[in-house]
Amino acid sequence: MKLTIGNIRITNIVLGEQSKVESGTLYVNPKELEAVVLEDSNIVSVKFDVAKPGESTRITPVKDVIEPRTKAQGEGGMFPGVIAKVDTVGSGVTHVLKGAAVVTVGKIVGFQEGIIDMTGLGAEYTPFSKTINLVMDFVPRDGLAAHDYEKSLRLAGLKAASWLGGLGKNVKPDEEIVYDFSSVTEGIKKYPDLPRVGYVQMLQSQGLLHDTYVYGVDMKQSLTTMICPTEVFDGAIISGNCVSACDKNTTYHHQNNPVVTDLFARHGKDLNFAGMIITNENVYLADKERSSDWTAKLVAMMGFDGVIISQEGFGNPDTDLIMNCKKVEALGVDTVIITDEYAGRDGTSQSLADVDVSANAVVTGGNANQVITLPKLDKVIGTQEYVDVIAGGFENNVQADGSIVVEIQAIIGATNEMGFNKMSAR
Amino acid sequence: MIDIDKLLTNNPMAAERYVSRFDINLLRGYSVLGVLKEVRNLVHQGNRLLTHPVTSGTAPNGNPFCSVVVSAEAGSTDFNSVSIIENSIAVREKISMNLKLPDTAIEDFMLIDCDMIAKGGTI
Repeated sequence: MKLTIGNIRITNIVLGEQSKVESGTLYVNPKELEAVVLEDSNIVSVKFDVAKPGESTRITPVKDVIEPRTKAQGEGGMFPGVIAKVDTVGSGVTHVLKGAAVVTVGKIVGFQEGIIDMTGLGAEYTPFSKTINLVMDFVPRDGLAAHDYEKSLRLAGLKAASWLGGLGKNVKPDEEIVYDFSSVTEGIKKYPDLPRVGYVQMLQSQGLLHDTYVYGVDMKQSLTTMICPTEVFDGAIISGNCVSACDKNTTYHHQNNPVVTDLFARHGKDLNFAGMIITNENVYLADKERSSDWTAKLVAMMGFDGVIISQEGFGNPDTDLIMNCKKVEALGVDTVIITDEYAGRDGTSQSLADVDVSANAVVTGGNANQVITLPKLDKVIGTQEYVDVIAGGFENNVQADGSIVVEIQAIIGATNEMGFNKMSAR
Repeated sequence: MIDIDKLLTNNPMAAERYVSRFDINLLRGYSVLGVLKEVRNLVHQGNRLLTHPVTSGTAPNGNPFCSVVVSAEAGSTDFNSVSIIENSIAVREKISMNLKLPDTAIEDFMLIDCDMIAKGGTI
């Protein structure tokens, strides 16, 4: 499948009269966008705000981050099976409002949501301090159950990103990138001497606020399967979860999966990007066995020479990671795993909850227990009410001068396990 | 009558929600480590672990609630289960649980723990 990504550079977001994209500015009429997201009767009201890089602004508790995109040519639409019809995506032309992001805020399960600081030390740990963020802070109806609240927020964010993306449908992109994924036979014919490298993406799927959806299917009830890597650029995989903020893969991460983009960048040069497998991270041990067996089976059937495995979350997903790694290595196929660490505040504890000698090539996204102090900022979008119980926060962590001491696991995307952020170790 | 699987939990919400689904042992007031040690006792008696006892992706000191499902029947010792529960206890022993939680967070933690065992891939 061949997909052209057309990036329209966005350098400003302005809330105003007419919704449009013009000269790098995304103009949004809040009334129009409100009508889109308030179709859901579970949401009583929504407040819009714009947060720009360098501003003294903190956004918390963050539920999801989504990049506005639209299908400009070809089949299907954004977030298939959820917002658009379920038609297969991943081909044609997709326009992206590059530099803009939709951020949804809500205290669904307060302690699980994260922080985005637009300036100061915290800003250095999140990629979303560099995007211009259209923040949507929702008020749910009274008595709304957590499951329904999560779903409403998830859908509202996706609807907004899809609608905003649509404003760029007829705008000429500033740059175009072509991703051309070959079939198995084409790849072998074209690159007979290059190693066939596959990508196994593990998707969080453990329950409330721990779910990921593929074409609208709850991944915990799917067998391990395959996806064309270009499909992820069209929102085939969406986040429905709020594991610890630092290693949650937001929808934005899925739309910009760096393992996929990097493998494409090297495709035909020093490797043949030969396929992508998606698998789940469940709680029941029988599911873990079945899913990792299927991962190894699909790796064998595809004849990969090497595999990159990325994780989401920590704790018992470490078991899935190691099971996938062990079973693939047992086939004689080399693996590289991408994870992060919970090595204690001094960094001396065992980093993963599960380990094995076959995991001998590991990329880390950093130590989530690292402690930093976030300065007091002038403006808070959302509420800081949960900061002391948020993942990475701790009791009495708000200092007299208003600064906040947190572990970096409180910060959205700080130790991303797809390698989206900049921390690692050698 | 088919024996139903056992749920060991210190989470009153889970005990209430799954009352008709599991044979419930509510370990009210137990720490997570305490629950895991009770699970270990059963595993050494031959019950198999059905869910992974380490929670996933919650706050730094972990969720204070823990629910683990083990098989109804006790056969010969399942060494995979022994390995997992021993490793889980070792992981848990490194974590100090000293966070004083507000009431709203306590309910949220209960809910997350409850939901983790709600549904697997198998119908």
